[in-house]
Amino acid sequence: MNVVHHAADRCIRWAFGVDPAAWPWTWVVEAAFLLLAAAVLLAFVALFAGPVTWVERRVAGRIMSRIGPNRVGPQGSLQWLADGIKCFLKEDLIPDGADRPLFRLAPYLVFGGMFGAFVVLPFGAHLVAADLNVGLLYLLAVTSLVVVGLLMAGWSSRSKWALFGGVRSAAQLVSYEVPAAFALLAVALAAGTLSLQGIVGAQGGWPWDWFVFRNPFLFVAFFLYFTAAIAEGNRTPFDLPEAESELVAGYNVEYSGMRYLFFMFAEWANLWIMSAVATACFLGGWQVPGVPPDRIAAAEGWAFVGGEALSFAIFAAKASALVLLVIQLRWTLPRLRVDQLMITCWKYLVPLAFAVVLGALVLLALVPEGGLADSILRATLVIFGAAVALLYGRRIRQTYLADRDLYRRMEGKDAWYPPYRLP
Amino acid sequence: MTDESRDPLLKDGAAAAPAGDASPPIEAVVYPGAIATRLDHFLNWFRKSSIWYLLFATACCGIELMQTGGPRTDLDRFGAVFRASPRQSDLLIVAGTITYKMADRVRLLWAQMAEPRYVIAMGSCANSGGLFQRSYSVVCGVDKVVPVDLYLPGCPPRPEALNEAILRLQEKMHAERWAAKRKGG
Amino acid sequence: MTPAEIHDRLRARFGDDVVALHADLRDPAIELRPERLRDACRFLRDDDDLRFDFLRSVAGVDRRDAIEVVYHLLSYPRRHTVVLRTRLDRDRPSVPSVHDVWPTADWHERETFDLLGVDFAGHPRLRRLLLPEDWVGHPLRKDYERPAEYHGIPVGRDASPPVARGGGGDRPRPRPAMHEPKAEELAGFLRLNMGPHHPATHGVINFLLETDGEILRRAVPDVGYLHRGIEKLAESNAYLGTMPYTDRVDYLGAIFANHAWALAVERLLGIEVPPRGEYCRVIAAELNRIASHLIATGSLAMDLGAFTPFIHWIREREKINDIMERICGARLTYNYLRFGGVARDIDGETVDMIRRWLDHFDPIIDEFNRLIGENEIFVKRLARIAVISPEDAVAWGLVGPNLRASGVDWDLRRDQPYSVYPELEFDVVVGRGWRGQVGDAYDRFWCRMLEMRQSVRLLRQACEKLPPGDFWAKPKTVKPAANEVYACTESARGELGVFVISDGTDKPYRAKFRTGSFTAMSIIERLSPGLLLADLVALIGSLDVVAPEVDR
Repeated sequence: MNVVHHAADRCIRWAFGVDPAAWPWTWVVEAAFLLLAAAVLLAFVALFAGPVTWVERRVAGRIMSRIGPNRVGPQGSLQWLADGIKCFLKEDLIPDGADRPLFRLAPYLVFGGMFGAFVVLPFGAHLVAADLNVGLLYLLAVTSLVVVGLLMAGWSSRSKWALFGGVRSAAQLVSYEVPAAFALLAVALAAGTLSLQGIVGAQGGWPWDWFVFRNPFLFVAFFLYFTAAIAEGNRTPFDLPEAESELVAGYNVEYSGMRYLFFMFAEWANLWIMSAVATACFLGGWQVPGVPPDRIAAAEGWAFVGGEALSFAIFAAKASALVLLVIQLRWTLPRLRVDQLMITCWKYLVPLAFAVVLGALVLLALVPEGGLADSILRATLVIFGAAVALLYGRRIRQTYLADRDLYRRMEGKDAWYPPYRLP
Repeated sequence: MTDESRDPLLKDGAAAAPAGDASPPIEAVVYPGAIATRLDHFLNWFRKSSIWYLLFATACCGIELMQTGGPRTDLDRFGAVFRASPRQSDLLIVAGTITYKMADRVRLLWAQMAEPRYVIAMGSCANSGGLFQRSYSVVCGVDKVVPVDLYLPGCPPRPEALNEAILRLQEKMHAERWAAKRKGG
Repeated sequence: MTPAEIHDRLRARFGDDVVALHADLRDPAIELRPERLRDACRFLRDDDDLRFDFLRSVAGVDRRDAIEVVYHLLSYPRRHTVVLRTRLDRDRPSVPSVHDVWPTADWHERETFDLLGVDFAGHPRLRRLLLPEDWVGHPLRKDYERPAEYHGIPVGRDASPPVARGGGGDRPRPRPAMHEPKAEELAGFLRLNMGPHHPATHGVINFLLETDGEILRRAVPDVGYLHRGIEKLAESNAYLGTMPYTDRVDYLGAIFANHAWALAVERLLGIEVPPRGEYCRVIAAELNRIASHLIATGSLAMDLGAFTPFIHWIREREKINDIMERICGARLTYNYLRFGGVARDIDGETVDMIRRWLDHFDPIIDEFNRLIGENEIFVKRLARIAVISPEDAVAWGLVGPNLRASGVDWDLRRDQPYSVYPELEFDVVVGRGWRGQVGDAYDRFWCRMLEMRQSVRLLRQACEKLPPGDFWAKPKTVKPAANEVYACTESARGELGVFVISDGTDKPYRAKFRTGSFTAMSIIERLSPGLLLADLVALIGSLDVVAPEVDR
């Protein structure tokens, strides 16, 4: 069920009292609703991209024993707004000799490529702007527009450093699409459909129903996709195109003000896309544990709204956890050199991707769903995954306790949120 | 925070008073600009809460600039992050000695910055040549090359001093009048 | 071998071309005729008993009636030193270049040409190094006059009003000369300017790159953007007045520069430092070494993309700054040493503070290594990159951790000891190819990490052994008789040497600073062909170059 269609249907019936299938102006109302959906998505992107910069800077501060923004608004939460409006108020600069039309166009291409992917993301049980039956394919295709945009930015800036950044990013993005696509192909094989809602529907709410624990090859596929997606998103350790210490901001070295903001906006949007797709394909998406999807579909009135809200909350929680993980990786790891990047992709990730697809195919064919072998496989993987998560949590707890002791020793006071390693 | 004598609005209003009118009533001066002032305050709050400074360090003051970005005196608290590209920065902190060989480059960097842009001359060398005034190859003050908004003394200035400089710059930004100038003047 | 023996050996070989042995100087100098200089140098390098493989410094001196070039040589295998001199005609000074004997002479001679106008015959590219290409005059000459203006900017104080805000655009300014190499045709190659403002060049250093895509064909360093004329300023200051300038010669290792200057003048004056003063110097020096290595390793990590370790090190450096502030009142430019001791005492509370900090710091090094030092990506970025063989390292004049990482076992604190280092126990860290090859970038990085541990060890011993007594044996006057001396300390970046010529007044006649970063910079051109751009960044970071040491 397509929520936009459904909403347009009900609106036409309620407002005009005619049958939408027969009415000649149905498309007008549907177009209006589509625009509304686009506006809602845009608002979501904006409200995600902004605060996540604040989250990133606070998390980065914590990792670096600093505080991060805390003056602009309560606890610095309006920092992103200040950054945005300030960029808006800057002078509109186009370097002398730059290719003006391309220079102007590049940020919009990059942003358009990113934003186009939001259309198929399954935010909740019926919260998807357009549930295309080739959703995955469309997703991979539309995010390739970003490559064109980055190359355009690098070339049209008429700066050799920007050119370096643009070419590097083109090579990187094009290369890492291959392992990402293969990992998602394994998921499509498991789900039997390319539609993202279908993929989420093929999973369940409980962890053992998620695709990531379905069989070992899909487990590996999750990490494969995650790594390739980080590379697609130009995040450290793959942030060569904007390597600050080498290329002086890479492809956006000549961009200032609003145009620069578009690039950054697109990067944050991509962060969400990467996490959302990983969640939808591997971590069960919006599936609520214990509540099968048809129960939500069958509910009426406020129960329906509640069900949708719950599914959105679950989806957002999972995707946010992945976003946090990506942020942590950025501030911990150094970056790979360009030839190491290429080698990693073509010599390691692509063969692994082939193996993953073949292996997943074989196991899916041999191990019938619901059988004993299937349950054993899933149980093993769930236990393994739980163990990894527990280790991670234990490490965090250890560090927290060590910090709290240190703070008590140095300051003599107790703090439930001790600043990390007093400077 | 700003005292009356420094209030630029009154000065602007006084300058805009018609000639021959010795002391215009206060309402004539303040009122037309009131909304514009509010708008200015509003916009300036955004601009001063997000000062992106260019990572430009020549000499010893550069190390103190890095220390100021460090954990103890964290400039990121005020929203001030460093950018590598001059196009994306609002503030050029000239930290260190400027030689004649470097002077053209500093000018170029400043010119590449997008308006509105500010310059803080950090340290004695950038203020006036400092310890190296008598040298043959040192420009006696970066204000001979770029217009400077704030002079920060020290050799090198402590991180707390640089912090104070950023706060003073914020005050200066807060007092800037864009809309009011256009309306009232 | 003593200078007299070396002189006899040279005389036996070259006869009358060896003009004289100035044995009355603190560092006796052998004067040679300029025409035979290159042959003599080749002989000094190749003879089995002499083996002078390291050209320490080339200093030009304007003696008013002639121009002199002074060469300081050191032999690593035989552990002896010698000083060579030639006198040149003041109007047209010319001497054969020795760059084919010691490649490091390339840059030394360019600097001497730049600042004094000496022509080095046979030098491949005798161009100005520190001053702009279109500068007129040679500043270190005694009759040098400053120009009135340069590119529209007046020279000197208060010569012009400041540029008005918003009005600066109106003043006619010449278009900045983007430095283009006057090179041969570059068909198909990209020509880039990396710097002088660039996050990865540690300070204002420019690189002229010729690249074939990502792979470098050549990277030529273009320095001088921080040339502040410290050597010329030293000639117009009293001896103690130059002490703050030595802070700025190497702002990350200010104590070492102070120490070299103090050593030189103390040798000229012939005074001794009381034991407590020496221990205070060692404590300050080792603290400074740790602080410098923190920035070196941290900024290498930052250049490779990991920002967090750098910030962690900045956090630790704050604590060292606190300690140094207690000791000498400043956080960065210490100006701590005096002739005959140190300016202020290190009291018991400060020693306790140092001890507490050492206990805190040791585990932090392990944490850093877990975070980045042993990180696979980091190791892969540095291992086997820009390998410098020991012969190259010596021939190109590398010193300090760069030299030791290439496998040459030489540390001034042990091999040409000064201060109280003979009484303290420490290991000299020599590169062993820990994760790749001996002399690669990872070795240079790891050498610095291990040296920090050795400094911690030294500090513990020094704090323990700090003797009571006087910390400053202040001399009555600082007016050394006419003499010449070369003194050096092992700084964080290697040998920081000072060559001082005194003339009986209270101001030095000539002061020349020999720094480790200067020669480290000169080797980059040789290592660059075939490197990737990212490797160049790793190379610069691993060599720990600071701009003021290069430019002075």
